[in-house]
Amino acid sequence: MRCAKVRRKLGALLDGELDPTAAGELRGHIESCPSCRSALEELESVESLLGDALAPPHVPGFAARLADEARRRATESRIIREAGPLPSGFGSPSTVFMRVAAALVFAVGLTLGSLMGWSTWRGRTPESRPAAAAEADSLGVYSADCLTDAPEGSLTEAYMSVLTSPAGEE
Amino acid sequence: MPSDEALMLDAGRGDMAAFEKLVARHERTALGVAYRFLGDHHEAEDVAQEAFLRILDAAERYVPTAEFTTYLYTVVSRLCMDGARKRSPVYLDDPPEPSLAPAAADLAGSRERDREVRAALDRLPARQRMAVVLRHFEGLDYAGVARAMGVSTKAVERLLARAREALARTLACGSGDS
Repeated sequence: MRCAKVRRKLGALLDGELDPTAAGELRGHIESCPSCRSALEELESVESLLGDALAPPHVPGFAARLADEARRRATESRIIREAGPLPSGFGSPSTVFMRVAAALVFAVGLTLGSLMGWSTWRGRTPESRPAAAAEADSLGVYSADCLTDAPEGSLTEAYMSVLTSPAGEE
Repeated sequence: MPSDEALMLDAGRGDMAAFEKLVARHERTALGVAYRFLGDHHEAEDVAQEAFLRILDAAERYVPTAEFTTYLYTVVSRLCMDGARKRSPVYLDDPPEPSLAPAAADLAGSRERDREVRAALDRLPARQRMAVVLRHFEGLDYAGVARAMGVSTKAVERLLARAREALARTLACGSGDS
């Protein structure tokens, strides 16, 4: 039997978890193997040191206090039950909370979206544009001609004027 | 004397006196597991209390398919492990260098031994520590440890093997190279 396999089973041997056949084979190997015997002795030492260390604390009145706490919780539960359930269809308190929260989020989103849409709509209708702004900033108004095929000042505009002007006028 | 299972069934029917008897019978077990795992008296008391209260909450649905103690060990060990996940390990002392550590025979007094054992246990990962507590201090067999921890018996064997290797190094019981 190989030492590596024996070492893996030493704990189970110590704990009485091996069947008699397996335990017999292990003990046979240990008797003739100083290294495995030493490993077993080390485990036995650990068990001995652990012993009954760290005895649990004695807590006077633990059971009585616990029973009092249990009665208190039972009373609380009974009060909640006697208060009656929420109207049918509402569901549990946590469900109600989630539904209310979802409704609030929806309402806020709808309001913000409406405000944004309204301000955009105002910006597009001619009536909403101040007349003074339309007259004052003619450059700003007409500078959008950069989007046309022949913006003012462009080579295209120059070519077009040459092509369309009567001969001899240049 | 009524059995644990009979008391548990009575507690499920609202008999608080039966519950109190059950607690009185097994409080030392619950406190022992919790204290040896957590290392703090107050935390151990909190865990033990919570374990019994959860057992009482479930008493109406209790079916005695296994011993009550199996149920108790399961609830206590799960609460301890949950608590361990939420907190960082606390090392009471730096472990001594193995070559300089006192031999077992030189450890004087149970208090010194407790201190050494506490430090050694605290250095173990939570699952290994729980396996040691249940196997060594509570005397559960591998099947019992496996049920309490929700793992296989093979896993218990591996956890204990690793734990014992680590404890041997920390407690410096080594008698030589393995």
